[in-house]
Amino acid sequence: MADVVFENVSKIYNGGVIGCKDINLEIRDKEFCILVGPSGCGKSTTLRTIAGLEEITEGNLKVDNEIVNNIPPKDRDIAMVFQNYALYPHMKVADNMAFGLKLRKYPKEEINKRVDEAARILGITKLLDRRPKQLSGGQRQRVALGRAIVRKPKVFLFDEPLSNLDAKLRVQMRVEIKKLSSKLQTTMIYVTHDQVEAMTMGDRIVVMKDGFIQQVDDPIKLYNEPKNKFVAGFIGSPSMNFIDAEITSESEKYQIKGDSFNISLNKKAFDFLQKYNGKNIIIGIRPEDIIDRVYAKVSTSKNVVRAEVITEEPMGSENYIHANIGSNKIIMKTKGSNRVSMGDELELIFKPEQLHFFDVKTEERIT
Amino acid sequence: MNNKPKDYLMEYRLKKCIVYTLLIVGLIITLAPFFWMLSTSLKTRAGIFTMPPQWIPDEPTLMHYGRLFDEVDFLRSFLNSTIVAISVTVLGLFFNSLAGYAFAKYRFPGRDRIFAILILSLMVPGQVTMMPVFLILRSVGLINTYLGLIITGTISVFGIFLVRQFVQTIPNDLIEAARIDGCSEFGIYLKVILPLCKPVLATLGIFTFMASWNEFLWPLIVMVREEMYTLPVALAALEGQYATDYGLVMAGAVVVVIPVIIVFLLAQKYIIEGISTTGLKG
Ligand SMILES: Nc1ncnc2c1ncn2[C@@H]1O[C@H](COP(=O)(O)OP(=O)(O)O)[C@@H](O)[C@H]1O
Ligand SMILES: [Mg+2]
Repeated sequence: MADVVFENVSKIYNGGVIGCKDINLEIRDKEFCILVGPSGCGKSTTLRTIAGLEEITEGNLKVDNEIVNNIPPKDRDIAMVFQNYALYPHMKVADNMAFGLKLRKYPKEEINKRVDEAARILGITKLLDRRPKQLSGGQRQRVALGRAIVRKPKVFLFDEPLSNLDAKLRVQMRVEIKKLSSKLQTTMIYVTHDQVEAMTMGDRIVVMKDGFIQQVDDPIKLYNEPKNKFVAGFIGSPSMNFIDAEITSESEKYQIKGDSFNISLNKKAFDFLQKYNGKNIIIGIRPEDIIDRVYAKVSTSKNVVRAEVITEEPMGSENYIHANIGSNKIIMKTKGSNRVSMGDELELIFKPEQLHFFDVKTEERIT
Repeated sequence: MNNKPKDYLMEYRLKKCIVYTLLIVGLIITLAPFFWMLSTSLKTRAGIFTMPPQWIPDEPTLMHYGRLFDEVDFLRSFLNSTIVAISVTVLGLFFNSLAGYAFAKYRFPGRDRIFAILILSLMVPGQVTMMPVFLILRSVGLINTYLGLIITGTISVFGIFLVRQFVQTIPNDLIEAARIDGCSEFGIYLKVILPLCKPVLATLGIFTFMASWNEFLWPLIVMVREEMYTLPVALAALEGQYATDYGLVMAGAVVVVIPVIIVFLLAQKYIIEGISTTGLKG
């Protein structure tokens, strides 16, 4: 049982560098919570305050309803897995895993039992007598996981644990950590800069930028209703397309006018655009929400947007087409069999219910 | 025109020959005095002065070695040196590595400035501080004591510097992992930092031991009474008392040198390892 609660937590480093600022976050017991954001956005800082490796400048941090601001790391009962594994080079794998238990003066039989069990779960029983130097990256990562597991801590912290692995292994370990989390039923807080990792693993995702939390939601909500332009662009691959446009009102319709395109939308369905009538906005559309009218054999020619192909990135199962709409560059995702070549004219349709709208100044989502 | 292909193998061999010849000459020049010392210590009194000089004594004798322990108390000096050198080495390794670790990994106000001042102090020749330190030692009554020599020999800026440079290559994550695993700060030093520092500590330990063992001027000043003399001082005293007794002096010199050679041979592997160890990545 352990939830982690941030109340107005800020960490300002010496020299006024913002680590993280005004963090308000409630991580529930047994939750798999992901902190995601570009490099330098304060994910690690936030995570390290939980471990007690960074002192909090302002605010309160509670674990299990107890304020832990001034409790040293060793008394917080948390375990952490580091990006570069941080295994003790001079100890065998078994000793690496047992180290924390030995320091806490567990009886020998208990230590052996836990190490054996963790090794079995992670499939590293054969490696127990080796030294970290004699292991591959993936094996080291398992040992690092094992070292955390044997402790049976209140909270697991992961700081980009898969970043040093090759792509294939990363996918495999992603699944395993996910399995592990449902098996161990412990609160897990996981830092990554990789939005795919975040989307596939997290129960809930915290998106950060420049030290501030941008949005906290489950993956699907985050994807469908990003709170601002940053989140919209960060989550999803390839990124959402953003196009400048102007809204005008015309009896039953709103006209969205941009550089060489014009889309009309039903006023009833988009009544929230009312206050932006006559103003500039940013529209956002995901690559997969753009339809190639000809390829998809859609009969209507309403709201067609004309585009000129720049290039394509065929992936086999799907094809990313880069195109120009007037002066705006966009990417669309289509079936692998939809092949195009440079200079082709496309007739595109933006799925109207999948359009996102953002304020030009605040970049907040318009709802 | 010379159309013969260049004989690279021949050229290579020739180069090797030259290199080895030079090395052998250098080796002989280096070793000759040691050999001469050993040889002289084994000669009879008459043998020392025979002309032409003998490299290998006609009638080798251990007589001078016996006299070292009968006529003068060389054993006591040997003991003194051992006590001082081992204490200085052990304590020095402990304190200098502790300080080096702190300078490498802890943040405290003025850290870098203090370290710069320490490094600057390396520029001050030892002779300059000898008198003031002697006066301090005398005022606290540590003249003629082991403690006086040990305290003044223990802290070495060079040692702190060496350890600091090495510890800086240890990833912070390792220290933080230990902190989370439940280590106290001293426990981190003892259980993580020290074991990882083995190569550099071996190097530093040997340097410290040899420096302390061979030190002459400072023990000469601090140790006034004969029974407190360390080996180099006792050796010098031999010359004074028995102005031309080369056999005795050479035997003394051999006794002084042998432990250093043994220590060096034993630890040679670590020294080379310590010098060539680059970080701990992976
Ligand atoms: N020890 C430190 N001293 C000063 N600034 C730091 C320190 N650690 C991190 N920072 C700064 O804090 C910000 C957030 O860093 P971090 O939390 O490591 O980002 P992330 O893990 O998201 O890449 C960055 O601007 C970084 O430069
Ligand atoms: Mg980070």
